Amino acid sequence: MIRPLGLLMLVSVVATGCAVSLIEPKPTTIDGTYTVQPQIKWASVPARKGLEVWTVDGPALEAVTFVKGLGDGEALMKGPIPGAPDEDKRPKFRAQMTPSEIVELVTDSYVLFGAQKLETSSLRPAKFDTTDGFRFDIGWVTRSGLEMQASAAGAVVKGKLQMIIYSGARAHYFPKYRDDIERVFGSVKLL
Amino acid sequence: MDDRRRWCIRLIATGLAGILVSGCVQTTASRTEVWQRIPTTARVVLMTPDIELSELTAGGVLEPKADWTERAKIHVVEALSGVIGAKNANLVPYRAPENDPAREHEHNQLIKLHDTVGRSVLVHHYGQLKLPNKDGKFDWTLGTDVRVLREDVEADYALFVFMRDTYASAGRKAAMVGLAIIGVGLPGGVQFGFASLVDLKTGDLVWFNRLVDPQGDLRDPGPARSAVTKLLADLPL
Amino acid sequence: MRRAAGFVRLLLAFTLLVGCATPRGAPGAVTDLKPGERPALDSDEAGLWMAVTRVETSLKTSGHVVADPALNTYVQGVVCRLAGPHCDDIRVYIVQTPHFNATMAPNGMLQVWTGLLLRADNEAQLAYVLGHEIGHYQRRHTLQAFRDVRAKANATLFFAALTAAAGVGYVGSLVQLAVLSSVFAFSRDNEREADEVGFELMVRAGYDPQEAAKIWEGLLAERKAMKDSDPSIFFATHPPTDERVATLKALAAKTVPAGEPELGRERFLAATLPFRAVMLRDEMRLRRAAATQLVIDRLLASGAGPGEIQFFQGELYRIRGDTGDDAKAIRAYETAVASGAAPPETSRSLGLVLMKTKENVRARAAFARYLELQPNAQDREMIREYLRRLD
Repeated sequence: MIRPLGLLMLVSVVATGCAVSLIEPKPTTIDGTYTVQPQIKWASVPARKGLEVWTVDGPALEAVTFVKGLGDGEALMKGPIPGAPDEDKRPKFRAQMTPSEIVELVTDSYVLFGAQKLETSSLRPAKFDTTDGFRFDIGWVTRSGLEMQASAAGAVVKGKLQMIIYSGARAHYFPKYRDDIERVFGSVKLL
Repeated sequence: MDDRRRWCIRLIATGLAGILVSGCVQTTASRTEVWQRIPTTARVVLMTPDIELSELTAGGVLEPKADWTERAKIHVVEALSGVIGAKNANLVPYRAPENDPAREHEHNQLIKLHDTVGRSVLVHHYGQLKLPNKDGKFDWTLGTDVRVLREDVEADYALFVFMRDTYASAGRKAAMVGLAIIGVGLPGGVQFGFASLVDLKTGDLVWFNRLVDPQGDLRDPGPARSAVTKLLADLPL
Repeated sequence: MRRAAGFVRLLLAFTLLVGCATPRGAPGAVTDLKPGERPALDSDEAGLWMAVTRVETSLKTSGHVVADPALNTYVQGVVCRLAGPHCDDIRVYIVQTPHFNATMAPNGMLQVWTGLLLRADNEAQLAYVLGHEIGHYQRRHTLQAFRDVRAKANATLFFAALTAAAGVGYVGSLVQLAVLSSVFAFSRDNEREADEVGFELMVRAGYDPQEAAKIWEGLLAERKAMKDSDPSIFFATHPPTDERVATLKALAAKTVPAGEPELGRERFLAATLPFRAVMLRDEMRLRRAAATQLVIDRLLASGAGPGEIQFFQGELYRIRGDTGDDAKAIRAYETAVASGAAPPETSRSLGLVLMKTKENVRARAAFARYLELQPNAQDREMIREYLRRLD
């Protein structure tokens, strides 16, 4: 059985080579739709279609995953994933979804990709710049038993889901950049 | 999907490092990192060695092999005792806390975290996906939660040894030959491992060494000893 | 040097724990395992034990085991009723995963996956499955299979399959399960033998043997509903032959229970009902509505806690979202609420569907009810936001 490095490492699939790029602490455009302002340097690692993944220490330890304009009928993670059902059997985003249902999209996707004992909390309204959006938190255990946490922010913008999920190991890594991430969430500016 | 992408996918998905992939820049990083002189009076706990041998099938599936693993473990543990026995180290074997499931759980989370940190180091410090934000700096840590370990084992440092080895199945070898004729290279099987020394005050990894180059079949005592000797060659104890 | 020498002794003690000398096979008839028996250190059986001990250690630290003492005591109790003198040799691990599986390793490690606890109607059905596994264990079928397979020079594949079969809550892809079943599936003879032993244990413990066929029928119906596309680790290791149900019924027919045969329904419900919502939630997350519907049908038929089941029926419709599902979901939620014992989330889900179908007044009432029932709901701020939007 393939032993993945971690759930979010599976996210990292090469799109155009093995290039890792540097993210400087300045306004950065995501999906041509909005900008964020990171406070520290991040590394943008190769990611699956429709996603962008930043990390400081490696995505299995902590990662900022940008879901870039997920459209109606699309799955959160595309392409083959070892041990997970085919793309057509994965939960899909629907443009009419309420935040409650978007949470279910994320949790059910994560569970299908191997997350165990997954719990969500604190679903609340939050502005995604000027758009009404949402925030929620998640906790889970990976297949190898490492406890993970995540915090998500997002909104449906022009019928497409824009979402930022910050995740990390409960021990040390998730708390490490929490404050920076709150500032990133707060810095969202729609173009 | 072209072959280069496929290998990058597998590289990342399985956390293996050191596979040469055409088109990806490979810089040679130093094998060992040492950032602290360890005082000879320091107590070091040897964590249970984490060793696993697998077979890489033609379909690219890694299948863990319990019997190969058991054989390799015997030889590696024997080699460890030989190498460490020759040093003047105050080394104690790890014992999990008994009758305290909550505490044991915390220990296990740290051990699992270390596993993930070590693999991340292999991929992102030595391997193909170097992180430009780090600028070559080695600052991986388990964080101050290690105090739990420090209190319970009463040690100043922890030594971890981790090895994974894959062997190409016959079907895989056949596939390799077939594709080589077409001009595509397939990794035959990969050996990777690391040893790390963790400061139990700060959680920082203060010494890290990775296994480079296939050392031969770990199921045999000679190659196992050779791998361990190389791995712990400059252990600062 | 002296410090190191003491350490070296301990390190070699590691070796004994993790390694054994080259195992020698002991061909010939495999006798039943006796209570408290341990294999000779250099035997092939010991090698097998060691391989699964490693799996057991990682299972313990995996975080996927249900720690609740009451549930563990209950399942261990059923095991001991069945296994008698073997009781002390068997360690029960309840693994939280919606897949159906029970698996006993040669060293006495017994995994019971919560997907099984969700599908058994009563203690007798649970006892059949556990008794069957104890049958494999007592008759040393895994050792037999290992020797057969080793004779065919396939030993390494066997260990891989063994590890996979003992894997924690993970089902894997269809391809991997095909590999598993090609090597590790118990033979028809062994399955028949395990069923016979299982039956004997069931009956001796006072359970109604007619319950055995029912749990198989349920599994086969789910497989049919999913049109064979749903990987089942239990089927990979226990081939679901057509004759199995017939054999179980025949065995039941010729078994004469002593005394009044028990179903153990009350005891089973008392132990499992507190977990049922979590187990159903895990099941729903698999997103396989056709099979889940059958699970829900069985639970509705059993009659325990209908409010909760109707809520999950509603969830199935809501999440599936086919034409007409919105109306069905609303009806299910309202039935749940009418029962007087619906979980508070029912009103939230009802509100979500009513909001979708633009029945704003009813949606507001549902959300308001949810907040009344759960003033500290984790998503209360979002629900209040929905209420504002519906104004």
